[in-house]
Amino acid sequence: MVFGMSKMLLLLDPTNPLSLPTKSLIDAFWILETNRAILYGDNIALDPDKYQLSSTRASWPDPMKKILMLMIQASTFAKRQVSYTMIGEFS
Amino acid sequence: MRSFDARLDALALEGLEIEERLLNWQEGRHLERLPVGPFAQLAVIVHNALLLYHCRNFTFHSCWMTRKTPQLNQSEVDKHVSTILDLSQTLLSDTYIPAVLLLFPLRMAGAHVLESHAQDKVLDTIRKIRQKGFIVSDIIEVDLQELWHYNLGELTKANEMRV
Repeated sequence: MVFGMSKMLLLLDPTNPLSLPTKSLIDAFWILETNRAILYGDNIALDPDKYQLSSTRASWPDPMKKILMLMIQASTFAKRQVSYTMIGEFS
Repeated sequence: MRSFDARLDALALEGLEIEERLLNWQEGRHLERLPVGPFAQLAVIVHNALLLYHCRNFTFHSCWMTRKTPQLNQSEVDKHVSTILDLSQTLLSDTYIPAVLLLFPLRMAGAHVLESHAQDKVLDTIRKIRQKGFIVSDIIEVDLQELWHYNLGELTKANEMRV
């Protein structure tokens, strides 16, 4: 699902305005993708700064806006933290 | 061995900055006494889980012990776990928020409970998510059972060494 959705996002033209259903789809993608990545200790599939996150964020339920960004920051940091710590432990 | 690793120092510092951002979110929330609405409650649950997650990631390797890093004491851990469990139960019974969004917070709560009655409460909540059709919650249940089994083994070993 993530792979397919990522492909769709990559095909979107960032200069064109997004339709409401497309925005809803992108919102759902980011909420689920953020949860998937943090739960499985995985990378976020796409860079949130580049792929449409900012254009739809305004429509998110208000309390979720900041907490989802914090989730992305915390999980991205943890991924780097674990990678570097593991290199040190076993080198 | 890694006492003088500048990269680890930088990661510890960045970890503290992220902790501060998480705590600042909490300060902002004090303006509102109770979370109103299902998404506000979900955000509070996720916030508590993020603090557990972020601080726990600094407990797995000895290299962090000599550095100032994000930390929680037991009382803070218990408070976060309790908030996650209580609010999750409310959300599951009273709202239509997709229950799958509670799996990360419940996984974090489960990773921090030691006593069997608290573990039962976590499992009970996860099984309610399954009842709503999210069969992926089975994976989280198995994962937690394995973690608790491992923790019990480690505790037994530590107790045997003490005797």
